[in-house]
Amino acid sequence: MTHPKTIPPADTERLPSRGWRVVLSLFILLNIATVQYMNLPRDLTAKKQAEWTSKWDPMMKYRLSVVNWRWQQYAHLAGLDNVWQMFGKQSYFNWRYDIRGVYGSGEAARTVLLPLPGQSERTLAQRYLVDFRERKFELNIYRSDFARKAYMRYLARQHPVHEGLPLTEIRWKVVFQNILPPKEAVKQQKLVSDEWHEIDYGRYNPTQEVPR
Amino acid sequence: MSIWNYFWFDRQDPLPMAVCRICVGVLLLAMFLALTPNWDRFYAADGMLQLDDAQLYAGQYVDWYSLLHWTEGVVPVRAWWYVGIAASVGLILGWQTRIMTVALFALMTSLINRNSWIVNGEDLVLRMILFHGMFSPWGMRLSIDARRRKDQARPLPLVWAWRAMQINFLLIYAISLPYKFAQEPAWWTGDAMHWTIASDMWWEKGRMPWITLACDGWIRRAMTWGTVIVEGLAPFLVWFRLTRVPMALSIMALHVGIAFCIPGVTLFTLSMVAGAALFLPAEFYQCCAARAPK
Repeated sequence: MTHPKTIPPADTERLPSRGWRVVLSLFILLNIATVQYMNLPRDLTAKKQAEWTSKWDPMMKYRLSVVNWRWQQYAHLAGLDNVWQMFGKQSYFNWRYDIRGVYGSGEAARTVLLPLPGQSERTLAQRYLVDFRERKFELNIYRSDFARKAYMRYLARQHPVHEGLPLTEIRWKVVFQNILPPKEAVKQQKLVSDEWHEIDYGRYNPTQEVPR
Repeated sequence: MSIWNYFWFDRQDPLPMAVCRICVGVLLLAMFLALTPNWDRFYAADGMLQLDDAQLYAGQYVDWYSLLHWTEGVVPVRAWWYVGIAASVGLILGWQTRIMTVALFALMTSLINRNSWIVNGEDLVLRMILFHGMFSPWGMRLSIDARRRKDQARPLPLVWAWRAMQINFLLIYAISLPYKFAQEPAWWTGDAMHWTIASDMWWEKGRMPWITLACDGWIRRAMTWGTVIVEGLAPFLVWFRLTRVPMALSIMALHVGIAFCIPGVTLFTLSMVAGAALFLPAEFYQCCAARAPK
């Protein structure tokens, strides 16, 4: 990749035909534009688009929405629809899930911490080699009630019985502690507060499952 | 027009692409091997995200793009793991490179669409590289294909797919940096590393807390701003002959450092190292190979 100091004249013998160059150039531009389009801030562009198209006739608006839809489909198919925000937003607290199964009922009921990767003893190999998707998984289902319910259904299928007792409920909590702000952390010479808090994050009763 | 033709349709030694191909193949192989115990849990029809739940969760069109959906009940889901392993080895060796690249792109797309809950950064970066790789001549060097076809005698390939891959790679920095500044004031103040180090989601608990606690926080500020400087300058300086090698090596050093410190993103950050390999000139690799102990 040694570049000369000046741009040499195009060597027509080494270049593909003009037709090919046009096709390839359009393909290149399409892909670069697609990546940029997919990464525009959605709120801002939706607002601007609504402003611009407010006086358009409905047919034009419809055509624009079709183009927009097709473009997004292409981006998805080509894998160019990623929104690149590497560590864009930082977390201000440490958190983990606490997912327990309740087995049996009445006085015989037992609450058991389910043996999941995020809440059980892991070997070094498991922690460094196998569990590389667990935190992202936990992060991704954090915001979705649907996802958590679907995951609880999976857990109910995986852990239906404990010591002969049937699963009656899954209880999901989030346990968290605050991270100290930078100045405070330097002052106290520690990173996190000592208190842990917990919030109820959902329950699932497999015996009351409604057929979907 | 001549600048356009020169930039996109020049012919160059594809050695850096071949190095990138091998790195991508190794990372994919590592990823498939690491997924072994969880493959059924993640991707089976009755796994953590049931097939019908996946449609409800992510919208109906995603299943059109997943081989796992179309072959459910016909091909065991574990078979796709073997396909992934075989295609990754094929990509590393450069055997039927184009077919292996297409197969891996289709497989990665299928896995991403099958279970979006567990999609990590490496899936997205590697799929992006594979997309451009399908059009690129990255099997022309350091490959079984090259040996069999005696490619050395053929004319050098066009660079357009290589350039497209480079630009897409740099767009990751060019896009993410403004987002960082817009979404997180800590990138301005130099405190972003503090939140990362204190977070047990990313950082290993209790490891090197002095980075943020010592020297009144100046070490973390230097690391935060250093990251910003490398990411901010990379999209520009990799294009100039004088700064290309130091800039590409800086990107690699940054990501190797992140891989060392943040175990949860190791594969993602190493896939960025693979992408940075595209910017080192062929002469650099030849020089390294010449100096390597025989």
